[in-house]
Amino acid sequence: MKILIVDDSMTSRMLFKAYMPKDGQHELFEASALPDALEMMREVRPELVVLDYNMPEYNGVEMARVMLDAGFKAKFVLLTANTQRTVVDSALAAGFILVVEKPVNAAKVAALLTQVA
Amino acid sequence: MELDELERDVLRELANVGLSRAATQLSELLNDHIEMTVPLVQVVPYDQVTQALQLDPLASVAAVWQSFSGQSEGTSILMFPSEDSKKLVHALVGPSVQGAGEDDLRGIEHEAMMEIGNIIITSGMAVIADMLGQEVRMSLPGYMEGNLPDILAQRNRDNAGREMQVIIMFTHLKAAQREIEGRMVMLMSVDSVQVLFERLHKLLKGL
Repeated sequence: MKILIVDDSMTSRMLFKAYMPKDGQHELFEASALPDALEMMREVRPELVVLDYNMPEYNGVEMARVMLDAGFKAKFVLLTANTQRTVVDSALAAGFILVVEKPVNAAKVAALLTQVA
Repeated sequence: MELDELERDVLRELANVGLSRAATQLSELLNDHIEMTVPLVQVVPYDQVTQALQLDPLASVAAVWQSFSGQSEGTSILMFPSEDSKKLVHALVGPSVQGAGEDDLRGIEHEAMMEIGNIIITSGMAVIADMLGQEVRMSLPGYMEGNLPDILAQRNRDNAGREMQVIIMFTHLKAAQREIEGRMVMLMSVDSVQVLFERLHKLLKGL
């Protein structure tokens, strides 16, 4: 599965990558902001997009809306420590299928991949 | 001390995770959406913390702090303008204190602020500890009302006279439906941050 992670934090992207199963089943692509993310969506056509919430300029839910409005088809997962009810509700209303609480670990990444498969 | 790009990014993400969890707790306490800014990370001399936090040095704030220790040490402070802290306490325990006298009310406010601070600070620090895979011991919360330079001087009595650089990580927290705006700050000595970087490098290498 092609996965795009969008997070302004290089650390967060590194951690997610480090915890991905090394089974050759998944290919991870990275973006740190909306323009790179849209370019990746066009070039790679990921099946799964994992977005952080708290980012400069656009939050993760706003970014997903831009992607959906642009006609991209993918499953969206929000990855955040900001699990306020309002944030979770806005993500689910925008079409996210899952909200995963940061910090990530191997078990959370494995569960995420199982749930979206 | 200068932070390189990766070190700044590591601290910003730790702050983002810890402070986001703190915002989530505040949201649950107030049953209100909490807007938070992307955390700022800066290295500053201790006596310039107030300016770095963009606070009026004469303004009165209500602050709850908790020291943390373990492999890294520092202090987390949750602060609100004094007026906002009263609104916060009222929003939480208002109906139960009707009829209380002035002195009782003050005691209840201090008690409530310490409990609120404890919940918010501890949840933020716990998630950082999880992320680093290390234990962080938290002190009991302390409470003080006054201007921030006085509060910081009080917190730094042990280091008086020593030039100390600290790393601050902070965010603005703003309740959507109420005029309540706070700041959450983590202060760590440069030495402690070095320990934290070593831990994180080991963690990433081991994965």
